[in-house]
Amino acid sequence: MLSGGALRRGGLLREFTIAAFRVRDQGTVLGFLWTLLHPLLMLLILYALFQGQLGERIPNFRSYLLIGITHWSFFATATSKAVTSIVQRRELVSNFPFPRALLVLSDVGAVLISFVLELVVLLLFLVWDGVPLRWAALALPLVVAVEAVLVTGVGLALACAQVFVKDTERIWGILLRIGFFLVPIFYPVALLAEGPKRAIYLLNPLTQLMAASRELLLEGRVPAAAGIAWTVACAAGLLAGAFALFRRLEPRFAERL
Amino acid sequence: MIEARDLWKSFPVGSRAAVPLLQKLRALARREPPRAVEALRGVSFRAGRGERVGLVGTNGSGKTTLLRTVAGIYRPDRGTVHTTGRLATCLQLGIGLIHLLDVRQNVFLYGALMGLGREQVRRRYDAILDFSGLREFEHVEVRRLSSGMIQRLTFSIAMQVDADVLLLDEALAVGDQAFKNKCYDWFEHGLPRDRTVLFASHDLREIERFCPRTLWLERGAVAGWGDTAEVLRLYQARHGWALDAPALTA
Repeated sequence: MLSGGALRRGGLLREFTIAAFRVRDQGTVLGFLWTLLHPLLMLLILYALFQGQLGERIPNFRSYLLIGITHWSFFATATSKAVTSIVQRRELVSNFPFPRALLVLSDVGAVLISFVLELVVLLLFLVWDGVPLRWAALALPLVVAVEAVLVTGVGLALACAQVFVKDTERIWGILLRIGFFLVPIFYPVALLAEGPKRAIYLLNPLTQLMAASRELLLEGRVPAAAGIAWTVACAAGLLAGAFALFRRLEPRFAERL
Repeated sequence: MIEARDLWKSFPVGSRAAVPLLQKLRALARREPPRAVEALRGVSFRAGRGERVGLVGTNGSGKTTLLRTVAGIYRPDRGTVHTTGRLATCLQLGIGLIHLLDVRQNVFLYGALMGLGREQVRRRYDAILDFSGLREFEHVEVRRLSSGMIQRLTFSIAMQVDADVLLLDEALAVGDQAFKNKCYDWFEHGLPRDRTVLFASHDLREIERFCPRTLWLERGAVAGWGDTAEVLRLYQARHGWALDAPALTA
């Protein structure tokens, strides 16, 4: 009985995810190429701007940039999609009984598929850029998994909030713009002076994930345990909290839409 | 089986609804009392396994709210609703499809919404296409279809459903007369007899033909419940029109 229900939910999640992925670039001339073009354009601009000053301080600056951009764009794209996961599916939510979390999971899942494809391109780019990939690079999927957990947690909370407070979407848009400068996408963490400000800065799990990814890919080292533990705890805690909130408020979604 | 006991449901309107902050403050300043629309007021009924129950009432009488509450889409303010087995809804035909995707992709998507697994849909895929009569549109985007075709497509998928409890809102017969007849035929002969059905409609002929018992809602409360012929007679008497009145053809 339970497994039958779980199976059906799995099937629905699969169909929702495929549909979300297919619809994404539907109707555009370049189609899926956009997913790859976007980070490369960002790379071009940031590289042109910063290659002189910052570029000299950072070895493999191009690869450094692209790793940051790829991680950031997964976080930003997936969470901003998740904000409207529920409110945009008003008709589905008011006419079919199913766990509403599937809508958020499938939207995040569709972006996750693009992210994984981007990472393949990223690895090719690294090889082209002359970065010697080491065994540590094999741990990259773990970083991706933790980021997916983090994004899902944030996404569930945002989707839920948007049902009750329509301003959430605008607020999140602003926060994302600020966030772009608060994670080390185009500058090194070392640029910040030692002190409490930097300590707080390093608490951001997304910063930790980017740093971990760079250590694995560019330096071939496994990141320090403390940072990993903190990041995993943040991501898991956030997901658990957001899911609990979601489950609590879910029965009121249909009437609020 | 469906068992509803003393269901109450209201929806806030005015200052308590989700309105912008300024509007809320203005309402507070004017000391407007919080208002709510009582959509269901103490509704109770029971439909046993295999029973087909009609649901009638004028616009705004609470039919859709009741269906959604039974489905678990709305949580009742008070009272309980209990269903056994798997439940599927068909409340508005055409909803649930993604218009940018083609017919084939939508068959799998909508099938999953109705609780069918990918393998089950694959096995019934040809039957669905044949019934809908849309074989030649298999790879056409749904937005290119006419609204009648979209309804036929949705109905054809929905009728493959395996659910024990089926909630229908005006969804029994759609499309042209030939397709309608196919729908009626499926409901009478195709749908297994052990399925419990709650069927809301304004077409009292359909209710009379398919549902032995009927629930009549009037402003959210039960106004009649029981034998269909009797309930429909009272319903029509209350509203001053008759089932056997000549149609608009004259």
